[in-house]
Amino acid sequence: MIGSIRTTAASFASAPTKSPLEDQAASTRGNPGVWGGGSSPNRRVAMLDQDRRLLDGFRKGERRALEQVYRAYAHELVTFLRGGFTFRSGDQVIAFRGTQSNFQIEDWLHEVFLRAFSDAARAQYDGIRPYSAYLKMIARNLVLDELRRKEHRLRAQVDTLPEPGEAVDFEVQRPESPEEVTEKAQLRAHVDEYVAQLPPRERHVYLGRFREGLDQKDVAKQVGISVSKVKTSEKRIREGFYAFLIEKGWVNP
Amino acid sequence: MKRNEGIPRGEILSLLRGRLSPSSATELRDRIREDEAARAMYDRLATAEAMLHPGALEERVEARVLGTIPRRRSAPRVWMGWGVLSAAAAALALSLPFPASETGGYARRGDPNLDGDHVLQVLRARVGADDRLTIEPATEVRPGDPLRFAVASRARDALVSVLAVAGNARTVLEPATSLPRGSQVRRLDLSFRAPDDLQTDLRIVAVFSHGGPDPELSRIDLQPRDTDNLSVRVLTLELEAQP
Repeated sequence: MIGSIRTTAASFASAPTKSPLEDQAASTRGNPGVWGGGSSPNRRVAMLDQDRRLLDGFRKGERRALEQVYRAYAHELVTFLRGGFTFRSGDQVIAFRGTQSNFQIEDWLHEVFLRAFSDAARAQYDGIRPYSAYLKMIARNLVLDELRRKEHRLRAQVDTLPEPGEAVDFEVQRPESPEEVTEKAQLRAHVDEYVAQLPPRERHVYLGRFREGLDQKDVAKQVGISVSKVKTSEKRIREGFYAFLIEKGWVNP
Repeated sequence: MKRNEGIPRGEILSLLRGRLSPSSATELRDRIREDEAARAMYDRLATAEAMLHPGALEERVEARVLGTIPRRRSAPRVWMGWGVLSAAAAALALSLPFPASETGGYARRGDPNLDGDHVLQVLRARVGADDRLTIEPATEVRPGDPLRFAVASRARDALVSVLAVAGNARTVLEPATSLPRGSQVRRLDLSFRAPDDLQTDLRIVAVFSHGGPDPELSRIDLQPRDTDNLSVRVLTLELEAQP
C-alpha cells in the first residue's frame, strides 16, 4: 500500500523551487530567537544554497559547516515533522498529520540529519535548490518507512483497508486535543508567572540565553556578571522551573 | 500527572538536560521508546522545557547529531604518549589545576600476571597553553583495571568529541561522542572494555572543534574504575584540533 510512494531523488529534482530569498525568509520566520531569527548576530545562520564557502565545507564534511547547516535547518524540519504532509499511494491521497511527541521528533530529527550528512547525501545535493526541500525529502522518506512498518501491525488489526481511490487520513499520532491545547496554555501561563518572579539578574539571563539565544559570554557582558554566574543562573532557572511546576501541581512531586 | 513507575522522572530529566553519557542516553532512550508511560512523561517534561526554552529540542538533538557524524582529521594535532608508566610518571608531576580530591577514592587492584613496572601511574591530563598535554600523577591504574574516561570542557563554543581507539587499527571502542557546543561544564563518562587482543596500546582521542581546545578551560580526566576485565599496557593521549 505504501510501498510505492517513496519520494525519490528524481521527484526532488523536479520539485518546484523557491528562490533563495524565499527560502531564507521562510527559515527566518521559523527560527525565532535561539535559531538565528535575527535577534542575535552571533547566531545568524547562512543558508547552504547561498553561501559558497559553506557549501564547500559542507561537501567536504567539515564539522563547522555541518554545525552551521544543522542550526540553519533544524527548526524548519521540526516544524515540518510536527505539521505533517500528504502523499500519494497508488490512487490514494494519504495525510500524515505530523506528531506532537517530542521524543519522536527528536528521534526523527536525529535520523534525518544522520542521513543528510552521510557522504553520499552530501554529494547528491546540488547546491542550487533550497536545501530545506532536500531535507524534507529525507524526512518524508523516513516517516514513510515508519508508516510502512506500522502498516503491518495495522493489517493485523483491521478487516478492511481503504479502497483504492479513497482518500484517507493516515493518522500516526492523533492531533492535539482541546485538553492538550488548554494544558499548553496553562503551561505558558506558568512559564510567564515563573519568569515574572525571577530576580532581575536571572530574568536578564533567562531572556538573553533562552529567548534571544545569546552566548553565555555575551549575556555575562550584558548583565555584568561572570560567565560562570550565567551558567549557575541557567541551572537555577531550570531547576527552579520544575520546582515551580511541582508547586503548581503541573508535575507530581 | 500520572507517575511513571518504570523509569524514574529523575532519569528522564537527566536525559532532557543532557547530563547522561552518550551510551547511557542511548540506553535510556531505548527504554523510553518501549515504555509508553515514560514516553508520555518525556514528552510532557520536554514540552515544559521547550516552553521555558524555545529551541531546547533542537539543541538536544544537535549534540546527538554532531556527536555521530563522520569525523575528519585535520591539523594541528598534538600527540603525547607515554609508554609503560610506573614510578617515572611521578616525575611528571606538575601543578595541579584541579583539586586532588577529584581523583581520589578508587579501588586499586593489581594484575597478578604483571609486575609493578606495568603500573600506570598517571591518569590525568590537561591541555596547556602551548597545546601540549600536561600530565599529572593522580592515581594508579594497573593493567587489568578498567577505565572510565570523563571529559569536561568549559570552552565557549568548543565541541569536544571523544573516542577511544585501540591498536593500529584504531578500533573504536566507544562511539564518538561530544559535549554540546557552548555547554556548561559537563562530564561525559565513557566506559569500555578493551578487546581481548589488545596488546600494545590504547589511545583516547579528544577532538576539539572551533579552533582547538581552550587551553585554560579544557581538560581530560582519565580515571580508573572499580570494575574488571581491561588490559591496558600503554596509554596515549591524542588531541586533535579542528580549525
